[in-house]
Amino acid sequence: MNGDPKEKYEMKKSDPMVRIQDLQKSFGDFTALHPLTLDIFAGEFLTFLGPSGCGKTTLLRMISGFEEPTGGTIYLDGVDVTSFPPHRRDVNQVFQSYALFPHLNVQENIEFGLKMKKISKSESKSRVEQAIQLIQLQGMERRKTTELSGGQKQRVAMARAIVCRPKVLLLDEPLSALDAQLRHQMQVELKRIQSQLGITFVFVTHDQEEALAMSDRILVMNRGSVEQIGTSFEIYHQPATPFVASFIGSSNRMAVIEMRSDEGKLKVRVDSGRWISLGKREEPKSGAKFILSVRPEGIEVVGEESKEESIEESIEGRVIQILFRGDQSHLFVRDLLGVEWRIAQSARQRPYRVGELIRFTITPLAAILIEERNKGG
Amino acid sequence: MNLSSSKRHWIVLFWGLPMTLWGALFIIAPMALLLGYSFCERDALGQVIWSFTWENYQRVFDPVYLNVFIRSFLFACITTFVCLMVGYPAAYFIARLPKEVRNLYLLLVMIPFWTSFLIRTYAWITLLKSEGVLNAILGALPFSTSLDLLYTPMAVLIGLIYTFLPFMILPIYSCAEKLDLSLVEAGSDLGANPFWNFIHVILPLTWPGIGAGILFVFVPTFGMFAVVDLLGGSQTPLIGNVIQNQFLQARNWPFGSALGVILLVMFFALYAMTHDEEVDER
Repeated sequence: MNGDPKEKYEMKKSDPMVRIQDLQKSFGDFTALHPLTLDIFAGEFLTFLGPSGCGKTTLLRMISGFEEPTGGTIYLDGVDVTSFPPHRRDVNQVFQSYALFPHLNVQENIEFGLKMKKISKSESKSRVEQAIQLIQLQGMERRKTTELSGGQKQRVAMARAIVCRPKVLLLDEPLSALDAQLRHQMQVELKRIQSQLGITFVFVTHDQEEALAMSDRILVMNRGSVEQIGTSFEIYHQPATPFVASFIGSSNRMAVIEMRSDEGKLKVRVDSGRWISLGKREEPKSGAKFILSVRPEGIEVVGEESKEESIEESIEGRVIQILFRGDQSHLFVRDLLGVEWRIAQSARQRPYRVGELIRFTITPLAAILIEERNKGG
Repeated sequence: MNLSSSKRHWIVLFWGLPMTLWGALFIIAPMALLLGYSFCERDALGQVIWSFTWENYQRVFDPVYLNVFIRSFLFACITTFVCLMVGYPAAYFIARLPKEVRNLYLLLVMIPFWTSFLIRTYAWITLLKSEGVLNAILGALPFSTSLDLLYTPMAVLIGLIYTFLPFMILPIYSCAEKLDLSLVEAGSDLGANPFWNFIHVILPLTWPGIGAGILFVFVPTFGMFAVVDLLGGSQTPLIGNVIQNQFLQARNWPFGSALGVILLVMFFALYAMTHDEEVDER
């Protein structure tokens, strides 16, 4: 389950910034988080990704101290902080609603944490100036927070948290209230700020696109359990569970009912009865149930000119719908067995029309076999 | 629908008319009358004679009446302070309760309003009098003591605090209920311990409720006469009792009016002062 973290974390693996051990949380009969063990490394951008109610926010709030775990331990930089109240933990949070103090102006909001920590006036002044510069809030110092736009509030919330120089910055869906364009802009900005400060970021989101774009590592959660942890690349291209395959991006998924190995070449029969060859690969251990997952970009439309070579492996189907997405289009194709396929077509290819008959093949390397598990975690 | 501004103006006038008439008839007119009377004289029979004199206002500064003013001010201050100290935690506690229980507690605060205020004050006489409930309980204790509370300033204070406590709780509650909990969390996240979080976040954000509560308690307490009459006897008259006396017993309407006008001016000044502060802070 543990994907290999990127090389840059290998060295720091011995002393993680946050170590979470068997952490669990239940509210009455409801288990919000099944026992979880996780290391978060210094300087890392880690994202908790999952649908609403998957436990990602609960996990974040246990790190910040707003939620008391039912069991387990949290170490922050080697210190057991499980029983520490929030104000004694060296972490800061950027709240989903920003939670800016309406009775204070921008500067007073940013100064708040430094005042509470009794940082000297001169030190505080230079830190606030630095943060305002980094977050690009120059000239807004005297503004009331109620007069700010969503993006500006976001920036103030960031500045207020980072002036405290936390060991870990916790971000609870901080971009969810922004419109799409601003959200993309802030994604880039957040990455810039993180690499400039080198602070460990723990980011919570339900937006897989956001998670893939920003994270060093992603923890995919569902129903209070971890589905997979790994880099964006691993999560996207090697989903460990059917849930990850379905939650991240789009994919064509079929239940595998039979497997056959022919001179090292693996062929599987899927639930529609069709045989699909997966190229040279080892047959996975038998006894388990598998799902075949193919990303839309793992399917290639075969042009008329190359008909003869690949006709044996190709599938014929009729285009029933086209989703134009700019850089590519997604074709929805129903094959002769009635199965619907989602196929990505790059913008450079000839555009197809609804109703057209096309042939397509599955790129063997792009097809992944995922073991189906009865329960998550 | 896009209405021209003149049309909208007429609509506002139409729907606002009943309230405007009501206000003019029952608030503006009596106050104008009061102001008019306060410059008049009276004849031997207590009839108001329309003339002009400053005499009534000069009489207000007579030490006898000044003392009553000071005592009223003191009583109002103590009542407001105790109501705030008791009411704030109560209101905050109720606002933080789960929604289902919250309404029950709110109901408990408001239940006294279902009974006439005079009946409730008479009930306090039964509780406080020498052979009353309180002394019966105290007498049953092993060290058997008794307290003679009725017709003392203490009894008046108890009555005032009891009567006006809900007026402190309700505005603070409505403010605390709207308090965004994530702001309190943000305070604690930024390193404020519970005490400083209260001082720097919770208190400033519930300040409008506190201000309203203080006004709601202080103003009526200052002019209250019924509770003072019933629980304090005639030992500790407050300004409300003096005004009532001038109108009903002494039959000196002009002087009673002058006292009333002074009281009104004080309240306006108080309101302007608290209002000004709010504006300055912005």
